[in-house]
Amino acid sequence: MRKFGLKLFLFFTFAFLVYCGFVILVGELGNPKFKKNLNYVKGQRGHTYSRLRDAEKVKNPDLLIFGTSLAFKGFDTRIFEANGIDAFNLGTAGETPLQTEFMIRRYLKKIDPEYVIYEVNAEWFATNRIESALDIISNLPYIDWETVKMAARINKVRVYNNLIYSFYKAHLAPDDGFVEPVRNNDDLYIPGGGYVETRIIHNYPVEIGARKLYFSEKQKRAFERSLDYMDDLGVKYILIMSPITNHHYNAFENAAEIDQYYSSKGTYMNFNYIEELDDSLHFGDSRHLNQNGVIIFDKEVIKYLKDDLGVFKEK
Amino acid sequence: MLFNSLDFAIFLPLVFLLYWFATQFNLRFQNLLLLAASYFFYGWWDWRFLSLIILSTLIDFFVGRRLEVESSPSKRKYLLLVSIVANLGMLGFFKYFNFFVENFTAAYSLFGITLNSYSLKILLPVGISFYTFQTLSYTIDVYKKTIKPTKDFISFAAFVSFFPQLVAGPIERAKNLLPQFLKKRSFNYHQSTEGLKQILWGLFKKMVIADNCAEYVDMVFGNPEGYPGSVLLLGAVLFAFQIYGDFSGYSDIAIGTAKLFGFKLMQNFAYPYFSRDMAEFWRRWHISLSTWFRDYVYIPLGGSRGNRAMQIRNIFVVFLLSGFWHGANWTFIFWGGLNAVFFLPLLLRQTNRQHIEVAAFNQVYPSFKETGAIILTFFLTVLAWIFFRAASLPDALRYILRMMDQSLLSWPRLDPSMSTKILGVLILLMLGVEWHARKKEFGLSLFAASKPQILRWIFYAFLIACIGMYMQTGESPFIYFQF
Repeated sequence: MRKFGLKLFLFFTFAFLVYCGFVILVGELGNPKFKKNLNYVKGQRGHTYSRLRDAEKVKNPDLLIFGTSLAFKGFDTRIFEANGIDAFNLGTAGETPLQTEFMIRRYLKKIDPEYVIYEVNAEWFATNRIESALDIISNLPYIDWETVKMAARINKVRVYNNLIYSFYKAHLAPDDGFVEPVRNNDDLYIPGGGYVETRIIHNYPVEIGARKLYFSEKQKRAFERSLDYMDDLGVKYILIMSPITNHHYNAFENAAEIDQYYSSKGTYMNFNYIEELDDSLHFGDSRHLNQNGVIIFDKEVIKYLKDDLGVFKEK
Repeated sequence: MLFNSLDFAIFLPLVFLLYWFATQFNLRFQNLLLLAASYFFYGWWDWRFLSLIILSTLIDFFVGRRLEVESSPSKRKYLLLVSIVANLGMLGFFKYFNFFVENFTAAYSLFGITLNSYSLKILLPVGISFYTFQTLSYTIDVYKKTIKPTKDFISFAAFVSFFPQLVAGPIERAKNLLPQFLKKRSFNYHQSTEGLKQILWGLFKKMVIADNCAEYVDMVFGNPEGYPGSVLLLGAVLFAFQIYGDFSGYSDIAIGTAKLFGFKLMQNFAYPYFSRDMAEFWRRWHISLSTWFRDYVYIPLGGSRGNRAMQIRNIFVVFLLSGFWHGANWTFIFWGGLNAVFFLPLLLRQTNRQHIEVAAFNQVYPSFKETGAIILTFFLTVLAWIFFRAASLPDALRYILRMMDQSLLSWPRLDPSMSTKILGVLILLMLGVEWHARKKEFGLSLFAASKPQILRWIFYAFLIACIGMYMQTGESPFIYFQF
């Protein structure tokens, strides 16, 4: 039995090395159809590559924003700057609370902001999708223990493969000289702020069926762990639900229940009731504000921070 | 609990460690642990199903005990009948009730009589066909005095519910498996490493070959009108590999897992796609079921004895029953019948036993004649699989008609998530390994201990890497669980 255990250990160590070699080899092949479970997405979505590099340089902002694309396309750091609030936006596309937990653990201590805005996107609490994890891991400047922990928590083979290949790309492969363009199709990245400004287009509402959102227990636990972590560090946080079109928002049958849940977790504000926002004029699609909408939303947020919460009042 | 799940990856090592460290000094404790683990494994799907397996176990245990002491032939027959009615009754109710009601109603409507259709929402307990046949074999063998009934209830219950083969076989005979529960088992290094190799090979076949074929197959069978004949042919061929990878993969994992606990289960697949005729195919495909029907249906009916008409009847009875065993649908029955039709010429010409040894027995490669025979046999099975896979008989016929039109000559194009070239290479890898191992028990037996360890390890690690890179990431249950 001892021989069996020892051999098994040696074999799995050996197999792990071969596995890593295989993932790297397949990753270097050009055809994506050969890489069924390896989705390395460097610099492809939402300017995560640039944002994560900027995040390494930011120190002690007034406000650090975590969340989904509704965060990095909704909180324009230039507007906050103009109102005296130094902000950095660390949202990534399709970020579930599991990935937000990772971002908080990796960046919060390092950046050390005065306040945190946690953009709570109810739809991403109700899914266990992994696109954001793949996006984040692919674009990290270096892989650390928190990244491994996030991969283990998500526990999907595509995330593990991405982790292995991203580790190779970040630490072992020669620098490929990649520079992410500031403009990517309709999106313009604002260097130093993490915000992405999108070209102004208008939303044409399509039929959205009424539905209930059932939060994933895994995501709820991750969310609650993140809040506990911020509490432990003594970091003040505000939970904000960004506006989506009325058309889309009204399709959630349990919106009140969702509000109740978030309210029970801390200071919370749902911005889906801004009367000025029009589903067509101020949205680029059913979820994302266009720049006209962002200006209205951000002013409301700043007003809420300064007037209602008494935060940054002196700024 | 699925073999290809994280749950099982945690469950198996835990039971393995408890088995060899905590209970190895006492056979009764070992069997008790296996019984508890098996019930846990089965109850993971739905604990309510456990009641059926426990009921089946109790009935057959006590029928076995009574059969031992009962000498009156009529009473013995009555006891056997109790077991058969109870087991087949449960199977019939849970699996075939709605089928019979629907067809009964439909038959009456042919004569203009309208009956109120009455169907129940019945959950099919996982693997009921497998354990029912396994436990039935026990009472039949005890009745025939081929084996002695056991007095050890724990061992018997563990035999009925042994988790590696509980839900999809191999359908073990009491003669082979039960004595293994009754004698002391000690850890065997060679057997355990062979077990792990067989599990690995099974996982490769299931997670890489079967699950990726399934993606194509589902696309094609889901919308056959949308594809040319060449794609339909490709879809049918890939279904042949899907069902083989899925079911033989499951059997390999089951047999390999049993080896880790010191058990030897029967071989369930012996490289069926290298068969040179349909008789050979049926000696190599789902061996535990084929031999069950042979021993408990075909031979009692007279087997190959009697006149031609009797022989033909016996063959049809066995194949139709085998088809029906797979599911309550006419497609399965037709599939069974079609296989009987393929088998019949061999029986009538008395050439059904001309290929006992594996193809190219003393050679590396098959002769042209053998290759032709293998390809022809394979395509006959592919034709039959279309009925097995289709949702209904008309669907299957439409599929075949569409497949046979002139678009059969076009170049097949499909666009699933994985390159067809990669899938083709992986199927060839599986066939290549199995071809070279065709005289051995399973694919990776090819790599005997005499080969350098580093080469063996590289290959095993490569298989693990293929699983990680090419497995389907959603949950994919084994096809045969539904039977």
